[in-house]
Formats: sequence, C-alpha cells, structure tokens
Amino acid sequence: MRRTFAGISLVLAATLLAGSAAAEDDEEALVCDEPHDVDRFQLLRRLSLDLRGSVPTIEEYQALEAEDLVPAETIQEMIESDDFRVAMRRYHELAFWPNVSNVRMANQNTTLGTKPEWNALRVTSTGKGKLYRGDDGQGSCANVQQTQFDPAFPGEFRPKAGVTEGWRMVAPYWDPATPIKVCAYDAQESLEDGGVACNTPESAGKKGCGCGPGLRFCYGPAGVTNTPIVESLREQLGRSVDEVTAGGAPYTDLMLSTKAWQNGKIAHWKKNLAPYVTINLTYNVPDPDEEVLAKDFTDDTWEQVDRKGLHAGILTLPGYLLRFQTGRGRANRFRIAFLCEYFVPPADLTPAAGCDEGTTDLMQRCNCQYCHQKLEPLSAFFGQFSEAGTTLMSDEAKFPRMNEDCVGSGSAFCKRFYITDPEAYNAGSLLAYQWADLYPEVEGNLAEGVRALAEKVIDDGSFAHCTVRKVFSYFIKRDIRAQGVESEELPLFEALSDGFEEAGFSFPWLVREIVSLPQYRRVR
Amino acid sequence: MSTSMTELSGLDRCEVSWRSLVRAVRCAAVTVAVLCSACGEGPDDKAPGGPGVGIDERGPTTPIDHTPVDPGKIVKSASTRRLSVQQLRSSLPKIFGKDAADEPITWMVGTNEGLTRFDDPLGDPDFLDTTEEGLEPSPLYLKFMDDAARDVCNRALLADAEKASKADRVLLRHVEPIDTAASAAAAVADNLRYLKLRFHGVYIAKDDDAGIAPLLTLFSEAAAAAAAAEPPAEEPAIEGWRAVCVGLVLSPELHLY
Repeated sequence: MRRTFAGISLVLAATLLAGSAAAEDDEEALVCDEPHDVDRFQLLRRLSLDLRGSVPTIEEYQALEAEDLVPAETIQEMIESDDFRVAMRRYHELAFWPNVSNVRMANQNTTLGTKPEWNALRVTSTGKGKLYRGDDGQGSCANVQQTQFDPAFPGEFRPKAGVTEGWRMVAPYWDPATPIKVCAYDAQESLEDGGVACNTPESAGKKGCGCGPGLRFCYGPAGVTNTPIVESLREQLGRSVDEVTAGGAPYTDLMLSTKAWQNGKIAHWKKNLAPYVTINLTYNVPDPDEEVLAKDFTDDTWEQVDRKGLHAGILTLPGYLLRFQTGRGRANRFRIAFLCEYFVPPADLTPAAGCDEGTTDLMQRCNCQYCHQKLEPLSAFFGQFSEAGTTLMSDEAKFPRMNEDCVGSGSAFCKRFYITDPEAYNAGSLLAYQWADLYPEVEGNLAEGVRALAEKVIDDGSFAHCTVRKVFSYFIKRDIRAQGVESEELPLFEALSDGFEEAGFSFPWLVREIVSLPQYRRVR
Repeated sequence: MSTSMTELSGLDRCEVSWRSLVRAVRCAAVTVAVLCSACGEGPDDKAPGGPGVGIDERGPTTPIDHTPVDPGKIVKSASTRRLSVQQLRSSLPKIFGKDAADEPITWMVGTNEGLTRFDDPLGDPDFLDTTEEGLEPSPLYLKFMDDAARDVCNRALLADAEKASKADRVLLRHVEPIDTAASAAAAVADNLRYLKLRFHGVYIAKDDDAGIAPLLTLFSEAAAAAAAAEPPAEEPAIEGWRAVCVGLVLSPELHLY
C-alpha cells in the first residue's frame, strides 16, 4: 500500500511543480483579509479548542447545520465541562511553571538504593555505611537472612552486636504488598535512639536509627518515591487552580485561600521524610501547626487541609515555593502572573543622585536600586517562608529574628538562614530581616506576609485588571488595546474589569464574557 | 510601550507563521508539496496575516520586505494561533476515531506516541528547561506533522477497511472503497464535503462545487496514478482518499485557528 503511494507521488509531482510556481506568483499579491465574522462552524471550532482543548466532533459540527449560530447553551456546556478544567489548568501552568521534578529533597543519608555487588537495598551514603558496618562504607550486608536481634529493643529489629549483618524482608511504604530485601541496619524500625527522633538530621550518627517501620523515613528508588511526590506537588497546585476555574470559588482564592489539597504522597512526605533535613538542599520541615493527614503513601485520595497562618493560595504551596526558590524570585513571578508587570532594565543606566556604589543594600546601590527598590519590599512579603524550601519560619524559638550565635559561625544552619559575616550590616539577623530596621515598609511586609500583598492588589483593582488582560490575550490571541495611544478598547477593558469584580471574581464569568465579544468571533 | 511591543509581536507571529508555513511546505518533500498545493486554499481565499510596523530595542519587528500595516485591522478581530501539542493530542482521536484494535487513533512512532516522544521540538514546555509554549509552525513542526499525517491516515484507512457499514467509518463515510469520481460522483463529493467539515470545521454547501474542487482534483489524480502504477494498486480509490487525508492534515486550516 505504501509502495503504491510512493509511486503515485511522481505522477503528482507535475501538479506540485505547477502549483508551486503558481504559489510563487501569488505571493507577490498576498494581502490581508479584511476582518470578518467567522461562520458558526469555525466559531464552534475556535470555542472548542479554546475552552476544551480539542476540536469538535463531527456530530457537533453536524448539529450546527440546523442552527443559525452557536447556541449559548453550547458555550455554557463547554465551560462547565471537565475539559474546560483541564484546559484552564494548562493556562495557569503557563503562568506558574509548577514542575519541581529537578528539586533535590534529600541527600544520600536518607536514600535507599542498590548496586549489582550489594546483596540488598541499603542507604547509599558512605557515612551511613561506615556507621553501620565499620568498613569503608562501600559494602553491604551479607547475603543471609538476619535472624538475631538485640533483645533490649523489642520490635525495633536492631541487629544483635557481634553477629554478621544480613538482610530482612521488609514491606516498603511505597508498595507494602511486595516485600524487599533490605540490609538489617538500614531496616531497623526504631522511632528514636537515645531521645533523638530517627527522622531528623540529628539522628545521622545514631547507629540505632534505620529507615523506620516500613522504611518510612527513607526515600526509595526515585521512580517510586521522589517522582510520585513531586508529581503530587504539581497536582496539588493544579487542584487549587481547579477550585477557582471550575469549582465555583472566587478567582481571588488563587492568592487568598489557606486551604490545600493533600494526598498520601504529600502527607507521608511531610510527616516522615521532610523532617530529615539536608541543610544544603531544600528545607521542607512542616510548619509549627501544619495539619498533616493520617494517610498512607499509597493512598491516592485527596482531601483538603487548612494551612492557616500566613499561607496564601498557590503562592505558599510547595509547587510554587520550590519552583521559585528565593523571595525575589517568588515576588517577581507574583508580579508577572498577577500584576502583569515585568522588570525591564533601561537601555541606558545613569546612577541616581546619592546612590552608593559599594553598599550591599540593593535598595541603595547604584543602578541596582532601580529594580530593587520595588523588588525588595515585594520580596519581604515572602520573607517568612524558607528560601529553597517550604517552611513557614514563624517559630521564633527556632528561627529568632536575631541570632547572635550565628555571627561568625560556620554552622550549616547559620549559613543557611542567617547573616554570619561579622562585618555585615545587622550581623546575626535572619536573612530576610537584615535591612528591615531601615525600611518600615519591609518590616511591615515581613510581618503581614503575602496574603496582605494579595489583598492589596485585589483592593486596588490591579489584580482584576491583570486577570482581564491575560484572559483576553489568551482567548483573543492578542493584547487588549487599552494603554497609551492604542487604547481603543479601554472602555471594554474597564467594563470587563469592573464586571469581573462585580461577578465575585468569577473566572468562568470572565471567560464567557470574552468569548462572547465580537472580537472573538472575527478573524482576518 | 510594552503593550505595543506585544501586540506587534502577536501580529508578526501570525504573519511569520503563515509565511513559514508556506515556505516550509515548499521546501518539504515533493509528494508533500503536491498534496498541500492541491488541497490548499480555495480560489477566493486570501492569505491571512499582515505587515506590522513599529520598533523596539531589537529593531523593526516585521520582515524587511513587508508593506505597511493598517493598525485598524488589529482591533477588529482576534488573531491566529497554532494548535499546541496538547490540543493536537486531544484532537487527533476526535478527528480519526478508533483504530482497528479499537484504540483512539493518534500518531505513533513505533510503540511511542509521537506527540509525546517529540513534545519538546514540537513546542510543548516542560516548565523546567522550556517555560513557554512554542507555537511556531516551523519546518521541523511541519516535518513531524508530515510523519503524523501519513501514520494517522493509514491507521484510519485500515480501521475503515474493517467496517462494513459506512456509518461506522471515519474516512469513507459516504463512499465504498471502489467508488471513483467517475463511477460515483455524488458520493465522492459528499465525502469530500464531510471530510472538510470533520477535519477543518469548514462547511461546504451541497451546491458549492468550487469549495471541493481542489480536493476532488487531488483525489482523482492520486487514484488515477495508483491505478496506472506498476503494479497497479488493488484499490486505487483508497490511495485517492489517503492523499486527501494527508493533504487535509497538512493543511494550515487544521493547524491554525
């Protein structure tokens, strides 16, 4: 069949050449079509692609033959369809980039793995290997089943001293129905050793700490633990988006809601894995009063929890905080996504009068200050959330705003969270607070958190304006002309913005209004 | 200023896209170009797009050979966009139905979905390395769509071959496999109208012969060529429908909206 098709192509080549030559001539005469209304079939196609993410079926086209126009009910059905929810998720993913699959959650101290020469799964760090086996840390347990355990720790399966370490069969939390071989020390089920919880970094040197019951304190092979967790974090953000696009919640909840969806993967991660911090990687310890559901890792059902505190919609979800890992990055993305504003360096830089060439205060530093006078106060709204992490650092006992012990300290914790340089301004302060005493606005923003920022931009109308601008641009496929000399559509812009607010910030309302505009139904 | 720049770039995207599409089709393999030229725009159709003027720090944003644009045309209408990878992924099964194994038809490369295997070059962002949707109908995009067209059309034809009832078929909805323009002119014309609606959402009235003329030419010449081939095709008309199908998939009317 294919050979025949190839054969006929030569015959058709003559038509090609003729057509190509004609097309060459035609190009000289290319002119723009005048704008004109699309017919109902093309309108249906446009609506379906925009609202549902796919073309109509032939049956849907044929049903239009008996109509004069696309019925309003058809548009409403599309907006109420699950395909609309999916399409609008994609629209929001283009704003929030919620892929955190490249984020390293932990180092090898809590990561189980194997090598061909190993007899069973073990924690892959050399340090743990040395601690457990006293060798160079590269080997594994013997290929025998461990049967002798320390009777002083019943139920914890600590290997008996003086006995060659073997393996145990363990039902891992990621697949309890399929037991696997795990070296006995790594498979210990102690919850603590000498008063130190086994899922904390302080347990790193505790020989009595393994991966806990069902290996719950350790990451398994990436494909069965890390990947499902980061995929769940993306889904978690997507579910928050669903609430405002298809769930009936006001669009402002995208920034204001304290609720978050949680499944077994996220609950297990938060409860068992996140507390074991690798200080130079991400910091995801649960918030002081964070609600973590009692769900097994394999539980794929989702429930909402109330995060309370300074949490603010998607802006404080792990999917956002781990994707944009600094306060500045978070503020910049917020500004782009919700205010439609971008930092653009000017073509020519002229230092402002009175600026300082050498200061580390970017709000005063020559040239840097042009952006940072705006950015630093915005960044402060996110200042209480750990950079490169998700934790709300509201526990001042753990995160004092000033920590004199950190001045000149080489501790990883201090270097991670505090100004340690004794010569620096406000040495010993929590990073985000270094300049707070000089700028009341920064201090206030730090205290109020990003919900206050969200409320401000909702109240002053800039959130509604930006939302209208973005949704219009997505569906009409060009910017709304509502600025500067090209402002023919300014009245429409204002009407849509006001209407959006009056409709309770209903996202479906805004979409329906825009796809009902004459502009949407014309093409050129 | 930023609004203006974005608008111009949006306008340019339409213009550049169309030009890229035309040029890339010309540069593609001979057979592909035959199909495209034969089933392209009708005689009354004009190329969309238009020149844009204005500058930003990068200089003029329109090709240097553009004539001036009437900005008034922008405000009156929506602009044009290429289908995204996700839209293609969702749309192909709706256009082509199910294959002989009752699975939704999509583009397959071996055992992999082509739209997944090549999602990066086709413009699907992963939100790590790429964060914006690439919607340029680039030559690479056209090359992949050419591959896709041949694959999905073949699957649809094979599926249709298993179905005795025309109502169950996707491509041969109004014709029998042996029908030609000479033996069943009305049925062939009905089928072309039906396919144009199914693939492009373009309704061609029963009395509008000009609307289907390019497709009819393509069907007839491809079927005739298959019949005259050595050895001749067992079912020349099927090759005609294959050519029509591939041409419809490669047409800008499927990829732009």
